[in-house]
Amino acid sequence: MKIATRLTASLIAIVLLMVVVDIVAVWPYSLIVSSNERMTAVDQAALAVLRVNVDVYDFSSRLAAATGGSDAQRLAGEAAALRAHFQTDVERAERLIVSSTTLAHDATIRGALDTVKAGLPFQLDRIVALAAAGDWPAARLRLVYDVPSLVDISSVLVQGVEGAVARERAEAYASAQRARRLFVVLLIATLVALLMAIGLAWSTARAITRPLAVLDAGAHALARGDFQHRIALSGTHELADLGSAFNYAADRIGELFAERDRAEEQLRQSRADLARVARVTTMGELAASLAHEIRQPITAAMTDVETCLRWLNRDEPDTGEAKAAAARATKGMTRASEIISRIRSMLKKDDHKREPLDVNDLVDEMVPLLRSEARRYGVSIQTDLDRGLPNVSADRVQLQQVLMNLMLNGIEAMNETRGDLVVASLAKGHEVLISVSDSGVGLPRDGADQIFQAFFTTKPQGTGMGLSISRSIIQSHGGRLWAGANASGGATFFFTLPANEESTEHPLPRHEDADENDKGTLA
Amino acid sequence: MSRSTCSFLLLIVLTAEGCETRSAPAAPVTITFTDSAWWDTASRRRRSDEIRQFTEETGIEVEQIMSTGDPAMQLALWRGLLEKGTRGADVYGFDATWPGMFADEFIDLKQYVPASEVAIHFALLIANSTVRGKLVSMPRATIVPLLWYRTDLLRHYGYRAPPGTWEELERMAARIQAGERANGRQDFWGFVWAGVGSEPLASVALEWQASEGGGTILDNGTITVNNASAVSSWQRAARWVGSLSPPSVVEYFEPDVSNVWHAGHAAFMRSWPLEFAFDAPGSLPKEYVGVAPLPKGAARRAATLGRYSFGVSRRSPHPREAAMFVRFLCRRDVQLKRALEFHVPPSIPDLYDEPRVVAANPHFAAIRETLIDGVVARPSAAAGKAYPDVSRAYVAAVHAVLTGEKRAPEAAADLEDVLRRMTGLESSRQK
Repeated sequence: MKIATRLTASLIAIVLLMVVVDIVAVWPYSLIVSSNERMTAVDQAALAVLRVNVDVYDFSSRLAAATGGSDAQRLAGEAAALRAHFQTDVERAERLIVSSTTLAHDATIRGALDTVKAGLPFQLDRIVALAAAGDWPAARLRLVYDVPSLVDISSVLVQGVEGAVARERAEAYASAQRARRLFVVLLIATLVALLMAIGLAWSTARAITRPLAVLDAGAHALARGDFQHRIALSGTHELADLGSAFNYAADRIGELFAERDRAEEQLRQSRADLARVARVTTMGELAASLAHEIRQPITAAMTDVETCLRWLNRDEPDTGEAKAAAARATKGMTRASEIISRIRSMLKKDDHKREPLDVNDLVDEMVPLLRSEARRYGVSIQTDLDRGLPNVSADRVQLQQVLMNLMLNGIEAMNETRGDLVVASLAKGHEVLISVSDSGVGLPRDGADQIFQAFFTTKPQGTGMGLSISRSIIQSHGGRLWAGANASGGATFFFTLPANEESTEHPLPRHEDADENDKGTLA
Repeated sequence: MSRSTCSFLLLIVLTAEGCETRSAPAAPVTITFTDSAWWDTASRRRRSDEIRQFTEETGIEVEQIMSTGDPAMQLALWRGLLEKGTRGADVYGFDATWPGMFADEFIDLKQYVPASEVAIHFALLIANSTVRGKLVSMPRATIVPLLWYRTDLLRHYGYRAPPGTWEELERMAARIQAGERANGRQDFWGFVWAGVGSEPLASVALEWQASEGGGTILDNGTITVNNASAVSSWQRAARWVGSLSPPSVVEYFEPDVSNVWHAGHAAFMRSWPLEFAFDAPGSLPKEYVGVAPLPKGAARRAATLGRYSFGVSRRSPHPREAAMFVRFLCRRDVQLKRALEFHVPPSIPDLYDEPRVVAANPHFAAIRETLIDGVVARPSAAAGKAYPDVSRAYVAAVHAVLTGEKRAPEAAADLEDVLRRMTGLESSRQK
């Protein structure tokens, strides 16, 4: 059933209940009232009839006195007064009897009243007429023999009305008894109606709040991302419909989210692939420089080995010199091996592993790889590293790629100008700020930001993907990457990375590798 | 839910109320009854006894509605009851004029009363109660006026028999009155009668003029009242006023006549048979009371019929029960008891031969004698519903003559005009 229908039905039911209770309440009340009204009417009529009766008695005695004196004038005066008085009383009595439902149709009472009403003036007329004709004996005889009948009839009238009063009183008593019994019924009915109204209200409220609670739980589940949560509401009411719609929406949203996750995964994969391709490409571009960088220690090592052999092949082999030469050769080979392993690490596939890193270490690893390339352009790489830098949580290979991109960009920008490439690090609040500054051609005039768009390039052989990939890597690490023009020409690229909290508090012990290149300048 | 709630509550209420409504046994039928007999205490007591007997026999309750003694007033009262929306009475005590006037208002009692039961009554009464073949009322008594006289005074003044004619009455009344007054009874009168300007005078005056051959006002579809016999009978009565009868006789209703006579203030009285039951303290001893038929005039003896019957209203919701009550009141044994105990003259001829009745009611002989050839009817059959107006005009004319306001011939002529306009009938003279 619809909630609107249910609410309307409940309202109607409650109104009906109240109406029924009201009817039950009015019943005993009307019983008592009508009984009281009848009682009052009959009582009033009885009083009026008693007055008429007194008038009739009065009439007898006063006329007896008046006729005794044989004074026609006195009699006439007395008669007029009696008649007026009687007329008022009898008309009042008649009015009350006619208006009383109990008495109006009582033929005996009406007949007696009519008889008295007509009879008393009639007797009065006769006595006055006889007296006026001088026949006082006849007047007195009429008073003696005929007026008593009038008194009789008057008392019949009184008895009749008093009988009605008694009946009415009994009836009123019975009504009161009945009303008292009905009052109990009224109490019961009120109680039942009240309970039913409460029951109706409760069930109606429950019919609304229970589905609402279910819907609320569903909404919260959805907000949590629990797309499997289903709203179980049966019935045909509006909230059940809403529940079905909610379930459908949750399905759709769940599908959309799954779709998005798949797309993001694909995107991430694509980006990783792209980044790797870019790295490989870059490494390929650097191949000559890298080869030089590797060959140089190997060449030096070969010289040292030859020196060692020379010292051994002397007639008097100088084993001390030979050992020193062999040690130098080993050192050079180790350097070459380190460079190769770093190159290898740049070429391997991403494993997306985040680990605590010291950005300064990465810079230190990057500088020897790019040194030959820089030299090719007549650029010297300098570092200004904040040794109190906190660790960051990052993917080593991705971060190396960013550094390499920015440094290569800087080196290439100084193709014609030559100069210094300065890589600096700085702990700044909860972030680590890295900057790569060159003194090259600077940024395009019409907006520094477009250089971060894909396929934007100023180099004839560039892919235009380097800065775009770098920015997306930094953003995926929760940091920012931007560029700014230097006042003295050239550009500086900055990026930030969020610092690891604990490492901010307790910075890792510095790896003191007093490399000769530190803060050094390579020509 | 709302429907079941409602029915549940109703059920509670009805169950509670259901305890209240018990099925009462069928209430006994109650019929209502009105009769002028209420007016005197003796009749009322008698009637109550009869009703009690009827209720015992049948289980039917009877409620009495009072009425006044004056027939005109009673008529007005009866109409008043009907007009006020009360259904009126079921059974009415009838004046002799009512069958003619109100034949349509009452049921035909022949539906409920076997013919054999009707046949036991005086044919004359049945005839008066039958209008166009409809038995409008049933006789319960024979009510005809009589001449009441003082046996002691007649004997004292040497008369062996009551007067047979109006002339004899005048002579005897004058002589007795003069004799009594000579003995110091200045308030003694020869003859008292109901001379008030109301319905009783219609009966009295009609008897005067009919006995003299003056007709009964409307005869054979014409207005006959303006004739010499009628006029002379009125003139004779006018002479009585202040001579044989007290000047105040023109204010006398029947109770006044009776009061004065029973108080011993008159030698003769024209009154109804029920006077015999008059037993007020200080009234005349029974042995001083004699009864004779009304005196004859030049033409005949003439006595009008009084209230002798009962009818059942056509508006009665219980006509069968009402008719049962009428049959009961008119029954032979009831009439017999009434005659023995209350001196009410029966309407059944053979009761007049019943030795106990004769012994208890010596005056019944005068009634039977009256019935033989003395009964005249007031013209209610001829006037129909206009009878009250006709009667009122007639009484006014006669009363004017009695009080000396008008001369008799003039009054008769004027009355003739009034009646012509009133009834649309022609006068016998023009015919």
